[in-house]
Amino acid sequence: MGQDVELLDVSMRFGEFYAARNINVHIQAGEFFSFLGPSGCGKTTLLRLISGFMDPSEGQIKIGGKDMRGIGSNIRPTAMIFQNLALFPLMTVENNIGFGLEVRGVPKAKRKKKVEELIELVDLYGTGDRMVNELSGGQMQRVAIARALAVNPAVLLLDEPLSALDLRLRSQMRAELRNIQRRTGVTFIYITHDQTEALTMSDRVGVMSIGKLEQVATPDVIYNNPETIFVASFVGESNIIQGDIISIDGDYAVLKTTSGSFFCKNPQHMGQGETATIFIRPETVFLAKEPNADNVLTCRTKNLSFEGAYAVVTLTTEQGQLLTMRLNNDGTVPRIEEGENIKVRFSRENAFLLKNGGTPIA
Amino acid sequence: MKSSNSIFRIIIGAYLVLFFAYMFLPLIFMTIIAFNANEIPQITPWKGFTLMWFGELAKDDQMWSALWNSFIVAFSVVAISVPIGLGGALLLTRLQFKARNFVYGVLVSPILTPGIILGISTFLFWDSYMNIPGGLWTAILGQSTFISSYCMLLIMSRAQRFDLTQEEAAFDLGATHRQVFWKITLPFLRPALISSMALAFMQSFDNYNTTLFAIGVEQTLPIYIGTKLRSFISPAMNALAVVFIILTVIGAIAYEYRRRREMIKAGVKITPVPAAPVLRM
Repeated sequence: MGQDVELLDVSMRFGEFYAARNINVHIQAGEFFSFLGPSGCGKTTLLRLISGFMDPSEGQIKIGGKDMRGIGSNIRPTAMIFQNLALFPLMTVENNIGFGLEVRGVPKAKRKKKVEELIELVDLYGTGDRMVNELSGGQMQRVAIARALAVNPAVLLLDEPLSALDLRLRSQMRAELRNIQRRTGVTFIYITHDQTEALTMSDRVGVMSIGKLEQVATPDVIYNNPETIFVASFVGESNIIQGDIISIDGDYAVLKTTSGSFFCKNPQHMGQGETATIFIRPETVFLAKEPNADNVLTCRTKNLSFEGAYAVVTLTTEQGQLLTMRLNNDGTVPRIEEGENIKVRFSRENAFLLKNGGTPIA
Repeated sequence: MKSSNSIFRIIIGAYLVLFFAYMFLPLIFMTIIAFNANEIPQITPWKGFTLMWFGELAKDDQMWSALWNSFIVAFSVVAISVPIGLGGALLLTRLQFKARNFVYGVLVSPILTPGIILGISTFLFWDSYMNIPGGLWTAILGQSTFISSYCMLLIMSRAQRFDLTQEEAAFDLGATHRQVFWKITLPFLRPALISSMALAFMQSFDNYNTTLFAIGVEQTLPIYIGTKLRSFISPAMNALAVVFIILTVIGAIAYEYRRRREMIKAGVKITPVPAAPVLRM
């Protein structure tokens, strides 16, 4: 069964460079948790800290409530699946999977039984005596999963293990990983730069920028209520409008921009006079039916690309503000030509103001 | 076009004939002499076919003791040089330290040092300063100085291709450092270790100049042959050479036979080993 993992003020410094800085997160037992961030944000470092390949410069890591400082990765209740899988090329599939048991001195008969169980779990019938380099990419992936699960880890650490697979196989393995996690109850800590992977598989996602944990929340909260500019711009696509706050109304604020003034959610409770950025998802921008409602913009269509289920319309206001709109192909949308003038609107519920600063990724 | 092609073929053919003649004629002459009943090692005059030089060789106690010494020295050199080479290779491929290039230079410098100097300095150091008289021991130490560098280079070339995450994976799965080394690292390096053992053995077995100066009054086979050739020329030395040629050919055939059988087992199509990297234009 899974155990919980607690990171308390964890920092990792290499010389002057902080690969991770004051990370605080409590990953629950049996949770599927993902660290999502661009390459070089320090997520691999976090994984290596949890697995015990190195100890943090500052802070504490607890697994199952026990402080892990000084405990090597061969003793920690964790197992890791490496990005390149790191299968042992000179061994058969069986010996790869049974390696962890062999070095722990598990007798041969017992080992064989466990290996057979795992081969069944990851669907690798009939490959037991093959060498690992005779397998397909997907099969190798399964060997790596089985090998890690063989030692009954409380926490399974996965370092972008799907990145080498093709698209179809990747989505298939995603479902399978989720399935294996549910069946085994092991805590999964998954790191990836692929937001779809993180959002589809995880119970919770921690979004990381350079060395910093920006937000920890469920996938829908990450997408719908990002707390920082970084999260908003890294996860999903967004329209970005900048301006100054001219008035506050409870949880809402009015932002004055060159293209007009807009009502928006103000989750960070910024004050009047501050400069801020509005984030609006393309799928929450609609054609305006009542021209005098709030948050209406007059735009010219620049480009229209029809993608079947929806169309992506690129718009520009008179002042040069760019907007993207995603129109669902539900039969009610009038035909729009490129170069046409149209009015679009967005609801104040779907537009949120965030503080400028940090490192937005556009 | 056709005529220039055939001229080209003639030139290539002539080149190959000359090349193989240059390589093999001395060996062929030497072999024939070993069977000539002439006491002076010459092809002519042919005094009849004989095996007596082989008999004489077999009766030569000095030769047998030199051969025995050669084996002792060669096996000892293997036992010393391969572990040292392995240690050096692991050190240089894993650790990133400032003095790495300097250490590398020091470790390969014995290869660049003339063998005579290695021999003399080994002998002087042990014999004059450490009061350990020159003999097989000093020959072993002298040879190991540069043979371990060869072993290191050979092992390094494979160690560089090792994926270190395999060790991390093994460690992560619960292996101790010792288990990681014996079950993961060493099996990967095995082919390089075997070839460095063979290389060390052969380098030691036919080493002349370092040994000559380090060994004092003892003799290994090359030293024995050298002494023999200088003092008294006998076709028995040709007989010895023939024995070695036969052993080498048997060894090469056995190796090739094994290689082909293993490749058939692995289902690989047999291709001849290219003597040199093939250039593709």
